[in-house]
Amino acid sequence: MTDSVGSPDATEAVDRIGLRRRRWTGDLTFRGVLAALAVGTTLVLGFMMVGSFVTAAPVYEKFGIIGFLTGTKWEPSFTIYGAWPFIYGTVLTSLLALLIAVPISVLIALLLTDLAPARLRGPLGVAVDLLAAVPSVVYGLWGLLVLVPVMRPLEQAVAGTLGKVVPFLGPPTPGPSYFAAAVILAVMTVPIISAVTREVFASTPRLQREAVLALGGTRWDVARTVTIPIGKAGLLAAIVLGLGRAIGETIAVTLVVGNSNNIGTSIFAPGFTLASVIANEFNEATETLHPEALIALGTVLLVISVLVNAGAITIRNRFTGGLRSGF
Amino acid sequence: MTHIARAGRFGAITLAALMAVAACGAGATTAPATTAPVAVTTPPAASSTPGTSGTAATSAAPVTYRCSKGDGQLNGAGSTFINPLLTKMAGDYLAKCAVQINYQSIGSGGGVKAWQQNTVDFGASDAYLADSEISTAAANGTPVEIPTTFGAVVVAYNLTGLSAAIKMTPDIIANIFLGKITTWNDPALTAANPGLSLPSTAISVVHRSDGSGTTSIFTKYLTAVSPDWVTNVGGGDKTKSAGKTVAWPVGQGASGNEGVTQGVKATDGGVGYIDVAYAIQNKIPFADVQNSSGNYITASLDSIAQAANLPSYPPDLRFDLVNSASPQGYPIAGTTWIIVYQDLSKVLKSQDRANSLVDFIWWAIHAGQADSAPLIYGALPPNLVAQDEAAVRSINWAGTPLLP
Amino acid sequence: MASEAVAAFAPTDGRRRVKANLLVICAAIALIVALIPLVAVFGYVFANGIRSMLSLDFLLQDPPADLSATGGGVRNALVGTLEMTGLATLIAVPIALGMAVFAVEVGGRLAQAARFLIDVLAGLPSIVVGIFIYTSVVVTEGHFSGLAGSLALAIVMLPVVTVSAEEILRLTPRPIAEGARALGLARWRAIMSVFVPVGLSGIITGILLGVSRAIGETAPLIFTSLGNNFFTLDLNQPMQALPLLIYRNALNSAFDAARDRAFGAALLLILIVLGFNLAGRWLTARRRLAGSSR
Repeated sequence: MTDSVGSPDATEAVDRIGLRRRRWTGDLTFRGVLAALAVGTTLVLGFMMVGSFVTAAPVYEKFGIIGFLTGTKWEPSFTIYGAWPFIYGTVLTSLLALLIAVPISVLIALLLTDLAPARLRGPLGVAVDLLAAVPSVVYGLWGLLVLVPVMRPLEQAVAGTLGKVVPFLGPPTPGPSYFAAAVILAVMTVPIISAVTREVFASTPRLQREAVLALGGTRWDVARTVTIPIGKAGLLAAIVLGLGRAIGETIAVTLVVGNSNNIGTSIFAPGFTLASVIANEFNEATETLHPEALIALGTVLLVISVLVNAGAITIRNRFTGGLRSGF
Repeated sequence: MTHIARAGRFGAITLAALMAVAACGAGATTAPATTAPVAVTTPPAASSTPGTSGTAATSAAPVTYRCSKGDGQLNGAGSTFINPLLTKMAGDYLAKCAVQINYQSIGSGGGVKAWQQNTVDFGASDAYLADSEISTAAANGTPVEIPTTFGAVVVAYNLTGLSAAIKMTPDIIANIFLGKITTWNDPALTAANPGLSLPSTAISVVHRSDGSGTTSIFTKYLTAVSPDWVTNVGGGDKTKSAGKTVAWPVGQGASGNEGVTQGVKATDGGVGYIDVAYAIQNKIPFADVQNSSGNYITASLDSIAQAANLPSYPPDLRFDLVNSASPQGYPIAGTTWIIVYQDLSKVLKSQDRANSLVDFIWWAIHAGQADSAPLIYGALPPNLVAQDEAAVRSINWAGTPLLP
Repeated sequence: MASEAVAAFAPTDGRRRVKANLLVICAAIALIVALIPLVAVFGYVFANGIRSMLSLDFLLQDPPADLSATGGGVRNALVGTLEMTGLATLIAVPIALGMAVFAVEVGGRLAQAARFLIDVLAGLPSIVVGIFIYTSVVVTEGHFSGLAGSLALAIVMLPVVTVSAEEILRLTPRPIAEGARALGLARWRAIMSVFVPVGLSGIITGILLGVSRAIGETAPLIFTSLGNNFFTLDLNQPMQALPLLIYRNALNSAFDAARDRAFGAALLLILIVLGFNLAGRWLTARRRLAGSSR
């Protein structure tokens, strides 16, 4: 038995020494308990998710899956339900949010891993992470009471000039809108994306970064040729994480998105997202099929969540290393 | 022991202690101990609106309040319209009878649903129950709807520098909310307001996004006065163009009277419909609305009373007050109903709790009415109070009336 | 070839130097832009809420029964938040730890399935969790309750704590893992007596992060604990919580006093969440300094 502790032979030897019997009973109970726990949790969660589909089934039957997903009218008093305005709103606000948040997060990550003086990196990093500590209801309130009135003149300026050419940027500009929701979502996702990206960039091989510098490259060259290309997969994972957060955010969005069932033609128009319409209407859904339709929207969110997660897992599997998930 | 382990142990002990306190505290309320129910005599609440018509019926027997404690707390949910009043009532009732009335203003639609699902003791709604809503709850029982107060829905707007309130005809209001009038200096508005210089600001409509009794009152008014509204919003169907939720053609949605108030306040040129109490508290101007007699009426205790104090009310206590025929009546007036099940034995866990519920409602329609005038709600006239009394007396526990 | 490489990064190229500086400037601007909302939100809540927080009564008294009256405090919301989050933690942590241990030590299909579901749960909007608890607990029980709220919060916390714990367990240093085995410890003994304590600070960090997330959640509570204007410790009653009070009252334009209390509650909530967050961070920093598991 002269093998080192870590080698498989040593493990086998230990096994063979006859400690098995003592281990078995304890281990079996332990594994049994854990397995029961895992089964129980899986059952509960699975039941929750499957149950939603079962409840929503009548709605899907009535309109057809494609019909429901692409239906543009949501009028409970007429028993007409179509998810498209909300899917549109969710996709629009999330993409806009990412459009704003990703460049900012990448720049911050570069700053905090490479560009800033070492002493400042810690405190500044903490400051950015603290953005994630503000509760979403507080973000929503601040967004509604402060940000929206401040942004409104700017929105009107854009709508009045660019908006004449590009209707997508045009009026109406009531304040609460897809754009306002996107800005709040961006603020909320920056800490997540930048935290993960920072770790990704920090784990770029030092040798490669220093090699570029040794060859006379600037920090910009380092970022351009080493950090970002190597960190691409991790960056993508971070973006996917942020996307997941943006899609699911409810309270902050519902306070600033404008709550309109119509599909706004401009980003400055009021709208709804899947999560916020559920929050708004579930409390009082008494019309025919109304609660079921809202739960059907929940299943759409579930499916989107599964897809986003599956994407994240694929990316995570391709990229091994110290990725911290689940903020 | 390491710092971390110590911290962890401390945290665990704290959590355990909290749970122990919670377990011990379960069931105990913080209401102070009272002895036998307090019998308070008060003269019947005379209508406190000045210049009201109506028989000043002074019943000789003073009203008594049993003040049953029940479980010490009752839960209600619903209308944001009546929230200021019910909140005040809760404070007064706590002082009088030491029972906590926990009212959560989540919108009339939410109140109706909570009542249907029996997750609260009473619901409050500014729209009386539709037949479909009653049949959904049939498994739990039949409803008793008790009108509790009158209020006014005003059209509030955000414009500065005007010397007087804007006058609006029914058509103007309908066209604003249909999106056909888009600026404040539209010819229709300037024609109705010759003395005002209206700016060219764009009109920003704010409506309710949640199921709202206030919406119900407002859209019932629009349905009554505007065929255009019925066509555009209801597809010709009057049951679709009026209700707690409708298909708003334009505007942003906000949650609750509070949300609409906020939306109007924050948007230059904004316009929305809210309870008059919210408009006054927030110092937002609201429009004088032309009623069916052609007069422009400002919402006030008097004009509410003129619209709401009817010589008689239907026996099932379901009525609309919009588009009043009264010459000085405010045209967009409404009622809020407290909704409970008739046979409480099927939905409440104890008769004590049922007693406390009935006692609260009894108090609300009598002594509680004194809270309404300061908040610009119309108190119930004596003839309606009499009908309400009959309704409350019909609430029973497996057949036995709960009120002596 | 070397000359090409050198030429690619010719240091005397002024244009690339400008680009490098531009990068730093842009990054600095990005940082400032990201930090402006942090300062603005905190400043706004502070300015509006500090008035209420000046008196200790704010924490010790309940809101007045007449919501329009000034004074009073948010004791019912504070206690409700602590109680519901406390119960949620007691429910979620054992399950999360168990799941994490199961995934790391036993593995296999079941563990993968369970972990996948938990990952999906992490991305699920908390409103959907609230609806599920509403239909399964609130409606069947016939009333809103703090217990339902706690269950919803537990489900929200579960993914955060599970993922953290699993990561920590996976990162148990090899010498320790193998030492345990060399000592002949049974698997379960090894986990309970060695791996978990070694990773304890990391696990606690995960728990603190989960708690700080659950404390700030509003959506799961709307349909489950409803809210209560009065004080109660009874989990069978509707219960108030800080986020609920804020959500229902901060826009309450009918009563200024209620608005002020809501902003005071918002300030209190931010401070509590910040407290948990910074505590978790401090623990991580100490762990890194001690160099124990990372």
